[in-house]
Parts: sequence; C-alpha cells; structure tokens
Amino acid sequence: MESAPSQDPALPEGGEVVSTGSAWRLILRTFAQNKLAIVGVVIVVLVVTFSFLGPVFYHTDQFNPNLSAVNLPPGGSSPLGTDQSGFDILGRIMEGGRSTLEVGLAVGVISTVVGLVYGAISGFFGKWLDIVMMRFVDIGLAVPVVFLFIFMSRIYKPSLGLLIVLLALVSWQIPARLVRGETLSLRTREYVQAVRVMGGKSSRIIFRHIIPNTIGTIVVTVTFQIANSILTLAVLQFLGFGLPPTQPNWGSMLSDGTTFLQDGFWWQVYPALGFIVLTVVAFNFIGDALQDSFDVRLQER
Amino acid sequence: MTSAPPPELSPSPPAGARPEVLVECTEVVKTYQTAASLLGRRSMRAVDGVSFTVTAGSVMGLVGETGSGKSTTGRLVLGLERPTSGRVVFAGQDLASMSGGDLRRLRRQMQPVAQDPYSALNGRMRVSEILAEPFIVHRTVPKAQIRRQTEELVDLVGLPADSLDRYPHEFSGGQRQRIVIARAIALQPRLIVCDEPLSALDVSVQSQIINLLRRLQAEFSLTYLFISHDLGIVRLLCDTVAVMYLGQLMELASRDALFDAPAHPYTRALLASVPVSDPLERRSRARRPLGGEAERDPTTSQGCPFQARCPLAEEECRQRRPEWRQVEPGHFVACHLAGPGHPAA
Repeated sequence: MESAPSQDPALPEGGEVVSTGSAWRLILRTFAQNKLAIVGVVIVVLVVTFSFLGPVFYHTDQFNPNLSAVNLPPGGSSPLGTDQSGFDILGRIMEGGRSTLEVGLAVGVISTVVGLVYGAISGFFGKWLDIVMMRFVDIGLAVPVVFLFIFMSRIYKPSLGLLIVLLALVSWQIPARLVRGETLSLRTREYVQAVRVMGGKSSRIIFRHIIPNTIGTIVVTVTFQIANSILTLAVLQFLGFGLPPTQPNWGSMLSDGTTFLQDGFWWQVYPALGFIVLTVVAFNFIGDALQDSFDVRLQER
Repeated sequence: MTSAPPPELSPSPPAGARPEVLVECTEVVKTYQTAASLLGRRSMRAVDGVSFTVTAGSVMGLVGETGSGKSTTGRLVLGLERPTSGRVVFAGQDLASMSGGDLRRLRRQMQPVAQDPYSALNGRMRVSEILAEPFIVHRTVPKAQIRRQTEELVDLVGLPADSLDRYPHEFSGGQRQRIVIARAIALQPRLIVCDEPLSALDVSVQSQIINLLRRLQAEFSLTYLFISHDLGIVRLLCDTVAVMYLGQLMELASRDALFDAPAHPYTRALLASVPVSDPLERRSRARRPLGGEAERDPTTSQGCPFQARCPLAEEECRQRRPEWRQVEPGHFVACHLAGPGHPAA
C-alpha cells in the first residue's frame, strides 16, 4: 500500500465507520418529535380501542329495535341517547367504528399495494406499456364512484367484502400514479444501472431496488388512502349504499339523524359526525407527519 | 483508416506474450434522436467515428470536456448502449451480435464504477446485501459462502469488517466509492470502466482511491478504461490517453508522449488549462486560454470539429475533416497540421 494515510496499523485503510443506525430510527425520531403526529396516533389508538374493545365492556343490543326507548336524549342508561328505533347511540358508534376501520385499513392497504406494483411496472418498463397502463388509470379515475356503487349494489348483495373490493377498485389509481412517477426517476439511478450491467433481471430490479425505495411514498400514501376511503365510505353509507341496513355504520347514522334534526335530536347527528371527522383528521395528521419525517431523512442524506 | 493495432500501448507486457487487445472500438458512432418537431427529426452525434483499442492489463484514460462523448463511449464499451454504426469488440466478441444470455455472461467480465458514490448504492440495502448481489445474480458462489466472499471484498478495499452490517448513508463519500469498487471487482472482471470515479470526492480522498485502484489492478491484473476530465489524475494513473472533443477522438498516445509532446492543438490547450502550483513555472508558461464553448457549428459540419476554437485553423480545417493518422508509433492524431513539417508539431 503506497502512502496509506492510516497511522494506526490496526485501522483499515478506508478509515473508521461511525454507526448512525438504520434510516428508520431517524425517521421514527423525527416523527415522534412532531406534535400533530402524536395527536394523530393517540386519536387513532383511542378510536381503535373504543370500536374494538368498547363493545366488550359496554353491551348493547344493536339487532332488535326497542320501540319503548326511541329518540331518548343522552343520559340515564344511554349516555349518548337512542335513535328512532331505540338503538343505543354509543354502542352503535362502536359497531360502526369497527366496520369503518376494517374497511378503511383494508382498502388503504390493498389499493396501495396494487397501485405500487402497477405503477412500478408501468414506470420501469416505460414506452408503450407505460402509455397503455396509464390510460387505464385515467379511465379508472374518470368512473363516477357513486354511480358505480348504485350499479353494483343492484347486481350484488351488499357486504363488507364487496365494499372493500369496490372501494379498492376506485382508489388504487392515485398510488399507481405516484409510484410510477417515482419509478421513472429511480430507474435511472446508478445503482439500478449497476444491477443491469451485472446482468440482474428486471424483476430483481423492481422488487429489490425500486419498490423498497418508494417506501416513503407508500407509507404516506397508505395513511391518506385510509382517510379517503373512510370519507368515501361515509358518503356512500349516507346515501344508503354499501352495507346491509342491519349493519350499524356512521354514514347511515348521519342520514337517519338528519331527518330528525328539525326536532332537535342533535345527539343522533353530532357524535357520528364527530367520529368521522376525528378519525379522518387523525389519519391525515399521521400522513403529513410521515411525509415530513421522510423528507428530513432525504435532506440529511 | 488506421486499423493497424497501435503497438506498444501497454507499458510492459509480460515477456514473450503479445499484448492482448481486450477492447477494440472500430469507427463507433452513436447518434441520439432529439424530439421530433415540425421541422423533422434532428439527430445528435454523441460519439462520432471513434476507434481505439485497450490492451489487457493497461489503463486507458479518456479525457475531454463535458459533452465530449466520453461517458457515452464508456457506456458503449460496457454494452449499455448499442452503437448506431461501427463495432465494439470485447475479448474477441462483438457486443452487438450477442444474444441476451451470452451478453449477461460476458458482462461478468466488465463492470462500471460511476461518478457519484451516493446514487451508486441502494440506500435501502446493507453493504452485505449490496456486495452479495453480484454472486446471487450470477450464481457463481454457493449461498453459504457468499458471506465469506463479501467479508473478503470489504477487507480488500480497506473497509472495517463491521461495514457489512451498515447502510450506505453511514459511510463517507470515499468509503462509499470503496464499496462501489468492491462490488465492481466481486465477479473478478477483466475490465472496469471508471466514469469520473473521483470527481465527487475530496482531494485527499482522491489519492487514497487512486492508490486503491492501482493496488487492485496489480493484484487482479485488471484493465481500466478511466474516463476523466482531470488531467492530473489521468497522468498519475493511465498508460495511454485518448482525448475526445465533440464526439471525436483528437489524439491518442502513451501518457508520456501525450503530456510531453502533444500533437493536437486541442490537447495543448487542455494541458495549458491545468492550474500550476509552482509560481515560477506558472510565470514561464504561456497561457493561451481557449475561447468559446465546445459547441458544434451546425453550418460547418464537414470540417474539423475543433476549427472554430483552434488558434491554428486554416482553410483546409474548415473544408475537410482530418483523418485519424499515426504520426509516431502508437501516437495517433486527427489534425491536418500535426506531424512532421507542420507548424503544430
């Protein structure tokens, strides 16, 4: 070794490497420093516990209408009152929260994963394949969602599964576009070229190199997708589509409640509305904070 | 055209053995189509009739300004681009005639080391995964032995053993370039195309990497195609040097011949632009900075590409492109005015 700068013979020629740990730790730290992120996480945890664990401690009958207790104001045995069929509102919100969160999470994850693979393939192979694949995205984005649901609910029996599939069907296009855009820039990176020169296959490049590097976009997109599908879900249920009428949900609680708004039965509207807004806002907070923390990592690179 | 192999390009081939030609480019042209417009398609000649050979075990420098086509030439040699015309022959095989599978196998023998060690490494992978990838792709080593191989590689390029479990962002620029080099030599290639491998590094780190490249070359009898705009580094590292300008070769010679007796006016201008640290030498040297930019004049496409900026340009330079000729053994130049009996000599 000519003129190796290391004085200590035990020290390697290239010098020491100072450990700073994985990038995830840095992202987590930035995320934890964000107050809105903490608020978002706390709200989501509370809503999840409330919806899934709540019914264990707070038993209500959400199947048999109780006509002797309709439209009761909050207080007594029903802390949030009852609706026009005598169902307990607090218990109904728990039930509705469960289906809302299940659908929201499922749609968020499914649509993002589908969009991720679709966008990565479209962006990586480019040329005519990209043109064709992106036109399908354009078409998907042009389908009127409410119409699709009315149409499908006439053909199929409404169920939670169908709802998830349909919502995913109309929401994977946004992640697909985002990932495609990122793939276009990632595929020209030198490490991708290096795998090519090495003789690596396209599948290896896409799944080992491109997709892992879109993880920031993915994580952020999932949270926004969850928020959006919860909102869309509420709109559909408000209009009376999606779930069988026997299944309690926030959207139809709203629409039922608004018919009695003139009578001053406020407790039939605002709790459900509040939960929708709170949940959506919480997921958006988390998404925003994640976006910021991934940006920080990029800046410190 | 001079298709005769330039003799004595390699400094000291092993006694008795003829120097083997590893890379041979013959009249290589690469044109890029620019966007079609109402006026029709326009094409840009990034590499314009380049011919050279690289002897096995030697270091060939390729110098030129930004946009001179030196990086494109490197990509053509690696088979990443297909020449529009001309031939690139690697170890006796024409890259253009090879099928996908054969090309994949041949690629084990040639590896790139790129300029930016930051974008050359996937930040989501540990060094162990990065260095294992060549072995996985080519299945040259049983899975159980990959770890040991990567440990050897890390040691070979002078990084601590615990580097394997770290991520690229934990390394300095020079250390990352060492990882890039380790990945490049993993499959024991014969040729490494270094495209400005030092320009993103600090000067102090540059010399370390030069030492590393030299040591590896000696140890594995590697051949380098070393693309650079830094004449100082080229002088340190290269056995032969080719000078490119606007996609064409201007001059090709052994290092000493090129630096001591440059034959092309452009080469002389390049050498004159190198800053000199010694104030006495600086005073004695006539500084003739080049005016203008390296731009092709679209109206005079037939002449010498350098004529617009050349201090010696004559009528002939505007009319006819100079041929690529040998002025001395192993010393090629594309200039009407170079050679014995000419003012440029």
